[in-house]
Amino acid sequence: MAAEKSSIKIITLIAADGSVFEVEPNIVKEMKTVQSYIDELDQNTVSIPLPNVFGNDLAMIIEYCKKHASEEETKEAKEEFDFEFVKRMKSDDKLRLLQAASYLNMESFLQFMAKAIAAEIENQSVEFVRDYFQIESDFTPEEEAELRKENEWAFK
Amino acid sequence: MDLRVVNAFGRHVDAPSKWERFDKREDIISDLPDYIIGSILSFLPTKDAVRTSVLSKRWKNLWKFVTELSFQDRNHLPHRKFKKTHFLHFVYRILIHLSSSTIHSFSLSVYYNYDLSHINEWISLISDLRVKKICFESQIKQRNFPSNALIKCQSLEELILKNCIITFPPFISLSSLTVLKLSVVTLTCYDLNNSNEPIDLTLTFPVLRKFEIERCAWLSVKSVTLHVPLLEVVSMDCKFVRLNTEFTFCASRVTEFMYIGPFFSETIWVDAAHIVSADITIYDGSNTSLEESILFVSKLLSINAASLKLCLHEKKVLARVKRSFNDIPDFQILRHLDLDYATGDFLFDLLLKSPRLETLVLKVRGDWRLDFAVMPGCLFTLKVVKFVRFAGTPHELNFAKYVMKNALALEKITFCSSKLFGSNNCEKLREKIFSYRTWFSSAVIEFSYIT
Repeated sequence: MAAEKSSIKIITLIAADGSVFEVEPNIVKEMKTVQSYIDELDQNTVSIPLPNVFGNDLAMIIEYCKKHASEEETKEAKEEFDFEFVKRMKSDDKLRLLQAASYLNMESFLQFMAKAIAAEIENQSVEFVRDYFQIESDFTPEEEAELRKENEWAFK
Repeated sequence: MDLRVVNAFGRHVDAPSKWERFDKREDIISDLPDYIIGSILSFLPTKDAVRTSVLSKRWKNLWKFVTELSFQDRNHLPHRKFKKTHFLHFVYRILIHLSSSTIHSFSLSVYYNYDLSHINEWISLISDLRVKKICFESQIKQRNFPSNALIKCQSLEELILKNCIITFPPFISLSSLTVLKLSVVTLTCYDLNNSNEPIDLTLTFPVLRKFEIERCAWLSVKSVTLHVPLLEVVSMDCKFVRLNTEFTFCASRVTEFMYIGPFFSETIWVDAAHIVSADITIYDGSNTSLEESILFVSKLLSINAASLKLCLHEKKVLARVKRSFNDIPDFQILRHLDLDYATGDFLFDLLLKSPRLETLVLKVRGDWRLDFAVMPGCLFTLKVVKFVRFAGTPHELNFAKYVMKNALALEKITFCSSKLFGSNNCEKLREKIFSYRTWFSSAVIEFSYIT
């Protein structure tokens, strides 16, 4: 446990909108960005600004971490939690959480979000995916046609 | 404290108001690092991943970062203009253009038949990318799968083959393989000497943990010897196949063993000292002679297990298994026994062979005349007895009475019955069972209902 390393009892995370979260060290173990802060500082309490993550998103991430850090929960209970967690999210939430996971450098949560997003675009048309990710194409119609031809089979 | 907004790459972004606009969506994803987008695309069928190349210039080459490849030549809806050459071309193109330095998994599901040289070439290409997992499946009938490149793939950790035919050389060694699952696979062996005689196949997998085969046929393979010192799980489902192959597992660490199938003329031999749980189902389905059956069972049941589940569904099977008891050593470490079908004398013989039994789960059917001339040693260790689908027959009651009077360490006896059982009847049975209780016994008597 992270707590063994120093005497830190509580970590304070400050989200971009100023909302404050107090968590135990084992909850932030997976957040490598936060962890590197903690390792640098040598204080009893640590307060860490996270200017790239909004309060609502951070609350969800902490909820996820709490569930997964718990040793009492069974594997099935965690899977059930993951299923419900994805179910109550909107598409935008997933993308923002992926971005947050990238910033916080959380490997397994990143994979979890990547999988949830992949499920949304699986078997969908290029137009759907472009709209889903809000991507503006900078290809000329000729360039796009050329690319489609190169990988013809993928577009059938 | 600097609370200005930085983007994913740590650069400051000048407009904090940007963060107030989640009602208006924008392209968040394209700013993320390549490997993160690559991990999203890795969860997709490769075809879907490649389609993202036309989203924008940023996306043109992102699919090349996938680490999982999954190809399927036909979806549920067959497309009208399917051409095998297009699919072949597509797979080659992807494999050649990948930027990932390693590939985690490669899965291929085919509907049509392809020249083996192509599939072999693909396996060879992904072997160069140190592939860890290969899955192959034929969607309709058994298709050939080439082994040439496969058996050279030393990075391979997991191999899953379904519905195919594969030919091996007599010696195979895969140094990283931890999981092998074969389902409806026909295996044959190259005949190096052209002798036309059945061949001995030797498999050396030094780190294999799991070996699972389901309905596999081994053609002209006389014996399979597995050198698998770390093997933990063996599962052999031999329903609907003829097994004329002798199996020897040189594996001292097996903890779980499962066999389901008929008697065979050849034997399965597991060289393990201590199996945690064994689950064995035998039915009468082949024309094996009595001697062969006895040999088969005596080898199979020579495993030393702490927990044994035995399903023998027919009288004939029971009789043959019973005949083999003389050749089986005692179940020295057996603590838990779950019997699906047994007669009184069969159970009695089994108890005599299980001196340390603690839990006995029974479904009593068939002839239960009990003649306990000798008292089995396990009556000193037996703690829990459970009757599954208890019907209150005189045979069952007779055995319950015997146990309650003689099992000195008995802590609990449970009778599970179906609800159909009338309550009037139940009350009488309860009274009867309670009357068997001896003055010195503190065993709990429990009744439960299953729906």
